[in-house]
Amino acid sequence: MGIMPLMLALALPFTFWLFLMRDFLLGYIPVNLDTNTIYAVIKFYFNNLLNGVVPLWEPFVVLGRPFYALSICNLFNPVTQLVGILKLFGINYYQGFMIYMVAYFWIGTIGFFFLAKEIFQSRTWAYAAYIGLLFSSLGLSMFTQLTLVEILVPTVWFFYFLVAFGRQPCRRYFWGLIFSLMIAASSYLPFYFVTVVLVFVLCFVLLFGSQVRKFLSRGFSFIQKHIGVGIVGLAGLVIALLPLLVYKIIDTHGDVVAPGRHCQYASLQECYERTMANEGGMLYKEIAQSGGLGERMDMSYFFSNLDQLTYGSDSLYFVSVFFFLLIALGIWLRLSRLNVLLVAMTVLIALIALGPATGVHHWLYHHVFYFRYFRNLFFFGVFFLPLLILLGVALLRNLLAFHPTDFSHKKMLVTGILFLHGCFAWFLYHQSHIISSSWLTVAVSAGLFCVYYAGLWKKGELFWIALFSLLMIVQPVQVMGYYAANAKEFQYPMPFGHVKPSFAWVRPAEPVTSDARLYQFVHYEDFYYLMSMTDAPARIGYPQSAARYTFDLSMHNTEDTLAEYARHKIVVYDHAPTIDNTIDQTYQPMDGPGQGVEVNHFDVNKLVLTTKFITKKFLVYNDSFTRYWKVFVNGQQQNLVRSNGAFKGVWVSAPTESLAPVGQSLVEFRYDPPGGQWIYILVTAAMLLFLILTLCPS
Amino acid sequence: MPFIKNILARNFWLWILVALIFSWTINEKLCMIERGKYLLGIFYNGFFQNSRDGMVYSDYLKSHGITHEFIKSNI
Repeated sequence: MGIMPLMLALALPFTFWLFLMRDFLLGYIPVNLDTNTIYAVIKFYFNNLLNGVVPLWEPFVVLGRPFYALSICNLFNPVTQLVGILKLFGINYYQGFMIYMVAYFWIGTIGFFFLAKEIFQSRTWAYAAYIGLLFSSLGLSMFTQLTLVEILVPTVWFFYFLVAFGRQPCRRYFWGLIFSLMIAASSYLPFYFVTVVLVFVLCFVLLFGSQVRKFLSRGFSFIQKHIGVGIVGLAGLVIALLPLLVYKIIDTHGDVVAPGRHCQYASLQECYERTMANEGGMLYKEIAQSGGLGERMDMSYFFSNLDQLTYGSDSLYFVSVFFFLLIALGIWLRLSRLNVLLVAMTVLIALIALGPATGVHHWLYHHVFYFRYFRNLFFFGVFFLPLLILLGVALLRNLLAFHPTDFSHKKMLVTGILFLHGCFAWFLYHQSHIISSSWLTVAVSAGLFCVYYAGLWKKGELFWIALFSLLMIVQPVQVMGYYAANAKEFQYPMPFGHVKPSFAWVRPAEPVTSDARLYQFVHYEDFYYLMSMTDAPARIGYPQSAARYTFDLSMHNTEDTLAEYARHKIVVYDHAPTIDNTIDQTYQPMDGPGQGVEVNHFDVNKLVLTTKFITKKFLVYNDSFTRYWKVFVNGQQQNLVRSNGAFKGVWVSAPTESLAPVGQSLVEFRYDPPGGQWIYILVTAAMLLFLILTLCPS
Repeated sequence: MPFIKNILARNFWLWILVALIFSWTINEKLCMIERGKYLLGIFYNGFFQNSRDGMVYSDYLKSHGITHEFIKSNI
């Protein structure tokens, strides 16, 4: 089959999927929960990029903090660049985001097709697996938890390239391996990916020991022959890790703290001590308190109450009931090493994902360093989808491999099929709220298998695979309908306009609010300020991320004292205020232009002011101080002084003392962390290069 | 011996092994408490205030023994 017929064959069910999800795609149902956050981050990033700035700082929230989501929202992926490119062609940010999400999801399912093709060595069976993933929860859950797609897609492509490279080492597969590793390293915390790869290696070595040696020998031989390719690949990996490295450097210096990690289940004192301790990582208690798979899943969720799926949860896992039926039907089939591998990986990942409900995660927390750095273990659940689907398709292939010829054999098989379907129906009957398509799937499956084994319909393998693939869709179609119907009550227009941020002299006293049902689940202000690029009130609370000294200041002053002072962005003193956590109240607020200070330029990384003071003044910019902020007066770098505990201050001379010829001073505050803006452009360019290398035939 | 080998080389034993591993290792009561907390939505809207907003799979809670008494004593 050529590439065009293949693409058409892949596009056909995908078009049907698009039709089923039309209310989400056309914007009638807005994205919710973490996908809403990711949309806000992506809009903030590309909006600023199109303004000519790679955003490194968020000046609008919690009195300014590093743009910490920069390295964990898949921003440098070539597919994500669609959002910015489409904006240039007049497609708004929200529509662009939808196109990116859907395209990325489809790319993931196509990767799964190629992976299944490598495993089964058959396009037809790979197509069945593709249908299974396309009509699983992956496409539904991305509207509330896009992170699942961001984790799964590079993992699927990595395994495809790994298997293909293992069979036939060549440059193209090598580039693909490196490219998928680069995406995995930069799209979200790579710890989920690393864990799944380690689980795979463990299981594969135990089950396929002899092939491991062959694979390693072929790999080494390839690298020896193509040493230049190996070096370029290594360079690509290093470049992809730069955003995380910068994040780690900033984190290690302790300029940024994460109260949201430490304060959710702690007393005020514990919260403060843990947040300020800067020990890195989280306590086991902080990881284990919530977010385990046991909290989000029960086996019965795969079968029961599928008409009640809520749009208010970000942990939806679902595959067609047909796959569970296949597992039941495969009970007496011969064991194969592939099936054992898939089951072993599923069990091990489940035991880790269950967190405190098993001892496995606890052991890993104490013995494997990176388990201290992530929670939300329920994200591992997304790996069950491809594993279950591959297992189901492998079992279906084994089931259809029987071709009974004599009557007694046929009779035995038909009886067995009816018995196992009956047992499965009995199991379903004892679950609550089974939707009609689940029963239909079981009934049609029983009929099809009976007809197949009885030999009543003499058709080729392709025909039967097509029929069973259609059966995989029956239940998901109804589930998708219920999901969309339940989500409709969340209707709300998402902000999508391009913003040129302007400097506001005074922060608002009250937060923005929205009574939309969407924001009963998450705080509206978590998204609004990023999307609109306007200031939040000068209040801190316990955010996911804040500048260290600002959080410290908020814990040593009343909320109102801090809010009243810091609502003025620029204040001046005749003397330098204290560095301690006390606010010097002798300030003169600048509530607008014309009081000796004018704004020349403002973007999220930089503020340039012109001052016209009669006497020498100490100017404080009430935006968080961190060591990577710099200040320049008339082009000369000056000592940036931490002022009033948490903000940026500098001495500005009077005109007579100034070096400026026109009797005024130019003051520039600039955020300049390691690597600056260029490393993010470098990472994006490197990703694009490796994508091209992967796609090039030679 | 081939007969025994033939019997043992079946998925059945793998399925049994998986069921045993899960039943031995998983603290089902802890999972139930965690699910109860999550489904009742205390991480989102405060204590038990959102019984009408779709967060609660009420049938699930009822059929799995998450009663008012269970909530009082565990959640």
